Amino acid sequence: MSVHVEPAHGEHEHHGPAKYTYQPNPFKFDPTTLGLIIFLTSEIALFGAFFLYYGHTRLVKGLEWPQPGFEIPADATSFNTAILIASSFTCEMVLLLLVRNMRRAAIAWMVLTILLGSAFLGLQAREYIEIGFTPQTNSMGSIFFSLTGLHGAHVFIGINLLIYCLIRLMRGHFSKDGMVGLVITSIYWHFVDVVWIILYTLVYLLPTHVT
Amino acid sequence: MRLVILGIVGTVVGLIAGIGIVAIGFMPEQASEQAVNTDRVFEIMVIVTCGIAGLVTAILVAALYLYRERRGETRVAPPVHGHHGLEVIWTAIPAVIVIILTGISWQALNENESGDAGLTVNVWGQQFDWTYDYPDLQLENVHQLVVPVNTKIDFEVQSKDVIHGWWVPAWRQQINATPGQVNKLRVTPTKIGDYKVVCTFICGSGHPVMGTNVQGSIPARIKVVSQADYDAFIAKAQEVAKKAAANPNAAAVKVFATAGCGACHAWGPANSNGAIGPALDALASHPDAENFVRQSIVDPGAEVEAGYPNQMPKDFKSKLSPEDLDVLVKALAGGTHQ
Amino acid sequence: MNVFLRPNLARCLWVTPLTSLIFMSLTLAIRHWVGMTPIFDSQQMLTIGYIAGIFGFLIGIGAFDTWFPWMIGGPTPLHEDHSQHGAYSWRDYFRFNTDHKVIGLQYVATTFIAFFVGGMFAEIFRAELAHPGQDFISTQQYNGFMSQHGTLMIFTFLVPIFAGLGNFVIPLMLGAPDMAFPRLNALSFWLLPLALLIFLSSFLVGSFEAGWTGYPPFSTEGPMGETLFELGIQIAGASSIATAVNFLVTIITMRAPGMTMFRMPLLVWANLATSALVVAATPFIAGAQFMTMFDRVIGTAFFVPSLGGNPLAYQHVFWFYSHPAVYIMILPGFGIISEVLSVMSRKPIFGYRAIAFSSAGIAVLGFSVWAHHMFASGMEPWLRVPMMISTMLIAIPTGIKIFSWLGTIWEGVLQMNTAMLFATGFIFTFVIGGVTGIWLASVPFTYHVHDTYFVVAHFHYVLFGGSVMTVFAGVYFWYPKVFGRMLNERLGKLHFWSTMVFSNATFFPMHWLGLEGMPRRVADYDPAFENWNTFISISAFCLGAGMLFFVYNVIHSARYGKIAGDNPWGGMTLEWMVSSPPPIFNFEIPPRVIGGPYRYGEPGAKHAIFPEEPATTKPEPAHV
Repeated sequence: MSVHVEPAHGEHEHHGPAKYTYQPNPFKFDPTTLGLIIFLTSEIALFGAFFLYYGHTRLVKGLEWPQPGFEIPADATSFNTAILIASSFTCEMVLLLLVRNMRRAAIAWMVLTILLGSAFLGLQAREYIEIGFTPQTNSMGSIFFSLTGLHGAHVFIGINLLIYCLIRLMRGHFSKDGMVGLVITSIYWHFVDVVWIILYTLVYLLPTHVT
Repeated sequence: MRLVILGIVGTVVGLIAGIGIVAIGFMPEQASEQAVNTDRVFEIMVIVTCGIAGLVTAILVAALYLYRERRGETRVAPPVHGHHGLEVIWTAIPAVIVIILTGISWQALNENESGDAGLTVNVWGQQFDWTYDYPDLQLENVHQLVVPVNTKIDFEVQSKDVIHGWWVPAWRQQINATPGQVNKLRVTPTKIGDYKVVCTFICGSGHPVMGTNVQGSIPARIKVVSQADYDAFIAKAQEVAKKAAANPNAAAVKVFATAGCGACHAWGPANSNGAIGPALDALASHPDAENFVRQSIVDPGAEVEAGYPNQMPKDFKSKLSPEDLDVLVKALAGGTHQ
Repeated sequence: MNVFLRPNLARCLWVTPLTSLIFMSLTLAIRHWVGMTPIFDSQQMLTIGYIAGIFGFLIGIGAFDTWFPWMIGGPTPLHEDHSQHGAYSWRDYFRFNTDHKVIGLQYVATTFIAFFVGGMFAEIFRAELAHPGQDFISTQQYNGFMSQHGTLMIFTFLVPIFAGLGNFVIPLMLGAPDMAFPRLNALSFWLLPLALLIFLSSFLVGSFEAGWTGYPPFSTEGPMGETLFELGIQIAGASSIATAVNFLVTIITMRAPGMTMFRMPLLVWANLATSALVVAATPFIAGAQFMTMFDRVIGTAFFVPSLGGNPLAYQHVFWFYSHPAVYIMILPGFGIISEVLSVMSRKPIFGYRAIAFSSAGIAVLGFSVWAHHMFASGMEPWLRVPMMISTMLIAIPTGIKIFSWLGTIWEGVLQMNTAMLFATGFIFTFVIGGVTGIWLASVPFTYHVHDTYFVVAHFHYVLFGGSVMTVFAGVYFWYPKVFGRMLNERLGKLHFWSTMVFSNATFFPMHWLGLEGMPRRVADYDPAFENWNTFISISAFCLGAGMLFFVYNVIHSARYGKIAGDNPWGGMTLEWMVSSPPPIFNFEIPPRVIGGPYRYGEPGAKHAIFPEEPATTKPEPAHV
């Protein structure tokens, strides 16, 4: 193993890399945002795995959806969908306000976003209790709860991220020129919203038989 | 230049090697139409691709010999970055070869599956044996498959528990037995004889013994017979089935056969002679026979007879309905009626 | 600070079990409160315990030490905080270290441990298979060793080893001081020994028997070890994805000035394509394992046919990752071969753009062939021919590479050292594996040989005769850069010839065993196959024994090998322009790229300069 002799940390030696510049790249994002977007591709693939199971079971195996005797509450959940979409708009407001240096307004809209997101989760929890089947009932239950549950977990993580951003926003860590953390959180939140719209359409709005 | 000569020599040597492989013949006997078609495709692929492999190997070995750095070497390699013509050739020719190979495979696949079947047989895979039904002839749970030669047969392969793989090497056909679905396999046997059947999908501790010839193996060899012999077999089997239906143990024998007990246990009324587990004819003489038999079925690991492996599936409690279990227990514990 | 409170393995010793206990107790409490019986469900306890333990371990090792305070609004000198960076003593290799060179070495060491353990399992069951009949292990034990062998080799050796080699080499090759996300990099690494431990610990609860493929319904019943298999894959997958994100952002945003896309070394192109594959495909196997795990642990009905479940869907989801996985396991290896062949032939790579584009082509096409693993599964019949077509087509970009490599070495000045031997030996064995792959693309042929030893022969030729050979080529090539010392050539050649001869002896006869009727994953077989099986087992032991030359060489040369100097091979890529071992922050003066990386044979041509050098070096002519 190699042993490097480096000056002790206390001395005023240059401790850290030399000043680097890099070859310009076609993407206009900073590395952190680029990293998040690539990571979101993998999250799309994760949902994709469950959607693949769902699609195969319904289209190739012809599973009836919903199974006879059960109901999937598309109407009630449309309200949840509206809440989540609204929270994407409020989240975007935070960024727009911060760019104009209106920090206090931004904080207010951030609080609103967190409340809307939490309301979504709460309503989903209620739907889980009242829906009348469980993940163990049959394969419909298994894939329904997995898809919505995976999404719910992502919402939960998103709310956590929003809270960290709120704390840092209140401490003044973000400014017009330095808000990468906020940007990636908002991109993540929009992603969660888009996934929900796709999920809602494919799982709630496309029964086998239209009554 | 020498590269071209080398290429030609290598390709020819490869082709000869391919022909050699085909001549030695590593396949089992051809006992079906599908075998003939598949082997034809195989032979063409072997020869053509061995030619390519020979080409690559010849150039590789030659380059290593001709161009290795020798002591005092002053040669400098030419700074060649590519050659459009060559690159087009070695993209186009493999593309053509591959398209041709795809075409002959597709054609063989179509030939293998064309036409309407004259006979349908259900193949049931379970841990750890194969049984067969002739649905149009009201015959079930046949342990040894007997089929007529020169008939197009549709095998509908299904599973009673986990995924298994039904393979008859001499026929060159195989398909998985997947629970919850019916997988169709078409075979047209062309040779009278006995053929081994092999399980190709990992299914548990008995996976190896679901293949014929393996020590302790359970599945019987498949018999292909003449039309006359087949008709005789069917007639006899139907007679036996009628007699069995009149048998007082009929219901129990049905449960016994469906659950596959005969693969490992010998029991007179079911005409089974499996030898992996203890024989069951003397169970009636056991004190507290009914409880002992019941426990042996639902919790086989609790008491294992000396000298026998602890290999009985542990899930019969959930696999057998309470009624079936009762019928079976009573018949086993009540002594065998010949 | 006390050794048990600093972020290190000692702290993991108590944080891990503590976290497990907390969450296991929480689960018991929730089950009691909701009224589920029995309160103690062993599957759930095992799963929750392990998952909590994983987080506990990561907390203990210090993976989140900078992120936690940052998340809750603490001061954030993240970019200037180098406290977790660099190797100053051997201890630095056993802690959470953000230096890509340390991480690279940690990866290589861990993956080689997995290689040797997985190899030992193979020797064990090859001993059993030397003769028919049950000799000294039961069928269940055989199934367990067989499953562990494949799982370890794929998820803890072949997939991460290239992440490790790439970790060390690629930032240097790009002229960067480190990867884009050094902390994420270290987290990626530490997930790997966890995955390895999860797999190995499954022996304590009955191991797993369903192979590395874990098909339900067999994998949703049976011993508890299967749950750990499912969990371990998700941890290994998370590690893989995080590394891939890192590679992608690093390669895109951190290239030295002047390094346009077509001036990148081919190893970088290879890792770019591979990382894109990892990001898009790996979540599918995570999803598949989620589903089987849920069926096992909470009783869902994904694969229970009587409740509408669909075992075939597992296969589609599983292979949608696992086919690209084989490209993940070979594409970086192709990159290594390109580097080694060019440097050791002192000749430019023949067909640089063709090789670069074919890597991208293989990555894209690789998503369209997955159901060729399912020809005999009873899948939708209409899918078979399209999959056969796409599978056959993938031979074309692979062929382009092989011919381009031949073009590279033809008329080169070939330095026949061990790295070069492995690289050229690779071409021979990989072509054999590729050829049998073309045969397997044919549906009627596959109906005969599916799940037989023929397939075992094919994939060992492409994975051992392919990937493993490239790994060794890479190790022999970059060892001098990592350790500053040369590996012993005599031992290297012994290792090479032993590997070459005995791998062919072990795997070639498997082709005809499969053709003639021997299925795979069997602990016992038809006695007609005995002679070849005995031969294969003996060859396998010799193959394993030959690895000892390698192990001794690596350990001994680190101390006593000949001093290597900056550039023992005369390479042009950026890693050879710094000292061996490299400085802690890689480049004291960041380099500037002025041409392609393979400008051998052009007098005065260079790939890069350090900007203070006078401009007498020949810049790249415009056409390249």
